[in-house]
Amino acid sequence: MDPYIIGQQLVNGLILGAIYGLIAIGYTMVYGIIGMINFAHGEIYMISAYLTAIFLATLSMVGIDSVFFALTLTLALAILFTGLYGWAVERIAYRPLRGSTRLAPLISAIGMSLVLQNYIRLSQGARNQGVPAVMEGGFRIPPSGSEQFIQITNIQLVIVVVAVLSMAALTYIMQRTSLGRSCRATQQDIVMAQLLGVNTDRIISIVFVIGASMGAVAGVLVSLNYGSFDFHVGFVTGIKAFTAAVLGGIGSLPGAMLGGVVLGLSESFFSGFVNTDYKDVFAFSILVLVLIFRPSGLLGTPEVEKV
Amino acid sequence: MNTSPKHLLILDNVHSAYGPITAVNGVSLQVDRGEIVSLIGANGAGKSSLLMTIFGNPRAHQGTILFKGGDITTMETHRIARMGIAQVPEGRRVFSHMTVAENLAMGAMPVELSGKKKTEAESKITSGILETVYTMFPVLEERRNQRAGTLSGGEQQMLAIGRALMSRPQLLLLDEPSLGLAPLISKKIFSKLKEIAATGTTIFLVEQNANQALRLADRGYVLVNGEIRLQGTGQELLKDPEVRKAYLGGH
Repeated sequence: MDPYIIGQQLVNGLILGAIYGLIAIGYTMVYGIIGMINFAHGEIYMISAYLTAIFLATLSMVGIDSVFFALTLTLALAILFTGLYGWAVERIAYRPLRGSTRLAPLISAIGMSLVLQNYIRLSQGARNQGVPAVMEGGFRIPPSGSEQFIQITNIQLVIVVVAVLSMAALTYIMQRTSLGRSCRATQQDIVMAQLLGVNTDRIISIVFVIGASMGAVAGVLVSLNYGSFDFHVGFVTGIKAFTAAVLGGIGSLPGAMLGGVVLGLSESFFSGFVNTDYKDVFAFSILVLVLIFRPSGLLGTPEVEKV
Repeated sequence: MNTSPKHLLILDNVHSAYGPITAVNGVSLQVDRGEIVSLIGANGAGKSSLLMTIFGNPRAHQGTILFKGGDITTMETHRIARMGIAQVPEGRRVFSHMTVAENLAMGAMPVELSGKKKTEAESKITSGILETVYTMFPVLEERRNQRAGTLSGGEQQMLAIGRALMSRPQLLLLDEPSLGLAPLISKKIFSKLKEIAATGTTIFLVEQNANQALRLADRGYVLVNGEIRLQGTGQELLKDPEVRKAYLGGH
């Protein structure tokens, strides 16, 4: 096999994997803390893509020309607003159902997902929307003259750097700060956390906001890279990221990141060497195989029934 | 109701239930400052439910719970925890995926979250508490970087007690600290409780192990089917024929 094609698929796969990983974090953290799959999370990511378009347009309108400044500001604003959406979704659709059956919040999540999709469809139109290319160029390995090369665009570099920084920041918060410790405590034993003075409702809200922020980062990065999206993009990407979370072991933070990368790489290699049309089939086949042979995922711990 | 300042905790006709199942059925009791009070009862008598009802989970649907003279009956669980009551719950409930040190840090959360501006003297007290806990349970210091789930049952019990002490509670609630422990370890735990009481912490202990619990206690209550059946000093209850027959295997 051609080493350049392998290299190129590796690059593409890592980019894709970083995106899946970022979104998967939202699924895995919410599942870890309240044991439900937040099916509206893909929509949060989609909203972030729209917010990116809106903020970039607004910033260029008010005359901010520096690419770095515009991107940083867009990222910050997208995180802020998307975080608000995440917070509101939990408050409106899930908190009132806490303590009811396991199925109720799941159905509520599907409802929320439909509501958000149609809200965007009505307010932004059903057509594809686009983000102008804010950053062009890239480089090739080897640099020049050769007929065969691996192409890496600047925006791809930005994606990797931002994704890695976000994941590092999140890991730091969860492992080293008192807030992160309270999150982990709530995840392990919600009643005991309350007995220790932790306001677990607030922690759950914070987890939703953190998950949404990571989704926001993914939304910004993807729209910069592909430039085009519609109100429906949250669905397939959301399900893929969910697959990544299950693959890595749902509830496990490093698992979500690893699952994202593994899924991204498999999909990319499958498209590169086998068939592009069937890449989704391949991704979901991985999900099926994982569920059959390793239901707890790569890094997950098997659920032990508490006595 | 008498609410003199010497009463730390007062339960007045408290009822609570898990759904349709009555757990606590009209319990009235009080714990005074500096006392060790034991509540004994058989499996399913409602002992653990009573301790959890004090923390509002399940919520008392009738009756009043006063702590330091203030009504905490309808207060949220996490706010009650910041009032100066700590609980060593049934089954210890240590955070098994966290290290011993992290578990102890969680124990200090009620102080950290209470949001009161600390005076210098107070922050000195909280900074010294970790050393106090490590001195009391040296094994916790040895294992401070180990995951709590890898500790033995006795060590987990020590960790649960140490964690509860981290907030320097005025009132310490303990739910069956001797459960599932070897007699020697259980004896050690009870002697530690005596040490804790000697530092001025008030202790309310719930136990099936009536002998050890009543020996330690200044006063005791006997709980049957969610109701207080008997009360008296520890010595009185130890001699009571009904108690001897039901809980001490006497004839």
